[in-house]
Amino acid sequence: MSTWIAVLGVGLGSYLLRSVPLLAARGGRPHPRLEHAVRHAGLAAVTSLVVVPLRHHADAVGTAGGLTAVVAVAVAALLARRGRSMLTGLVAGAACYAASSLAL
Amino acid sequence: MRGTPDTHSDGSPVPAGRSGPAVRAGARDVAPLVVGYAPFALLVGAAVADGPQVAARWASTFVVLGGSAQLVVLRLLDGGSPLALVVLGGLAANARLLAYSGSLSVLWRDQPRRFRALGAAFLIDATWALAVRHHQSAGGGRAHRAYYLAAAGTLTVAWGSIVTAGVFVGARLAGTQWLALAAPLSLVALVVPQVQRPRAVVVVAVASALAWFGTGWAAGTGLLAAMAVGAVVGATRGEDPA
Repeated sequence: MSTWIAVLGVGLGSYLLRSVPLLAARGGRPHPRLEHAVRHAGLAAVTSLVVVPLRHHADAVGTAGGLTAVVAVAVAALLARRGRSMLTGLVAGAACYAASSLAL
Repeated sequence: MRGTPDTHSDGSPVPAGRSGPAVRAGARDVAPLVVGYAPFALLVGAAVADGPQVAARWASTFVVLGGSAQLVVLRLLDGGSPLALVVLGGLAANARLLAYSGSLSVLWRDQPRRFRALGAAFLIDATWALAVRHHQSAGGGRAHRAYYLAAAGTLTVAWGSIVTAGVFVGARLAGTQWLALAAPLSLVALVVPQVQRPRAVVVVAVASALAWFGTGWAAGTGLLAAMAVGAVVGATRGEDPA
């Protein structure tokens, strides 16, 4: 029972986090500073979601493996910078990681 | 580069009144993210199976709709934490959704309230980034709504399906650390296009440092600190972002 309450509580709270700013928005444009602040906060959040698994991976497999993972993500980032698709970056990054791991 | 409200992210026009092409584009654009998230979803499924009340734990996949928050909730429950702490921990892990919602409130200010209420239910890292990217290139309007809902629906169904598969096979993946790299390899493609100006470069650099060195902090605080710094830099530094 407590599991259900916890799940529903987090679900309800998460929906409020997701919806309140969206539903409170009026027709007018907010102050540019506020606009930039929320947009860059989102960018920082997604950036964290890229970096945290890399750190966990480095902690789990050691410095060499961690460095290999960072290089793999850098390859994916470079391909994204050049306008390649996300799938291309994923495959190339994974291949880079596999090849580097085998070499090490 | 912003098109008319009824063009796709690649610039191709969508005929007025038709949202079929936008639906297909949304499903197509989210597919690589599904591949990237799949290993993580399998590991979440393994965590769902590894405890009592599996039905409630499985339901959290759709009710919480966020793998990291779901894992925090399950781990706190398994550790015997008080109910209030479990809820607070899950909400802390999902606090970034507030920034995503605030960001989209600007882009969606002219969208129908019903769409904003529905779209909020599916708001997560990937759907936010896809929505921003599509809006930058194709603008708002009916096609944007169709694009977003198609992407969000595809991601939700796929995520739930893979988590469910993980309930049965996820335990066998324990120890396969490299699988967790698929998500950052995919997500980096959502970060890079947004890094067009010095302000964004600073945000990404600071967020990366905080995320790297803040992994040992209490659940979610490294991410919250990164968001706070991102907001401050975004609000105070020089020129406008792209």
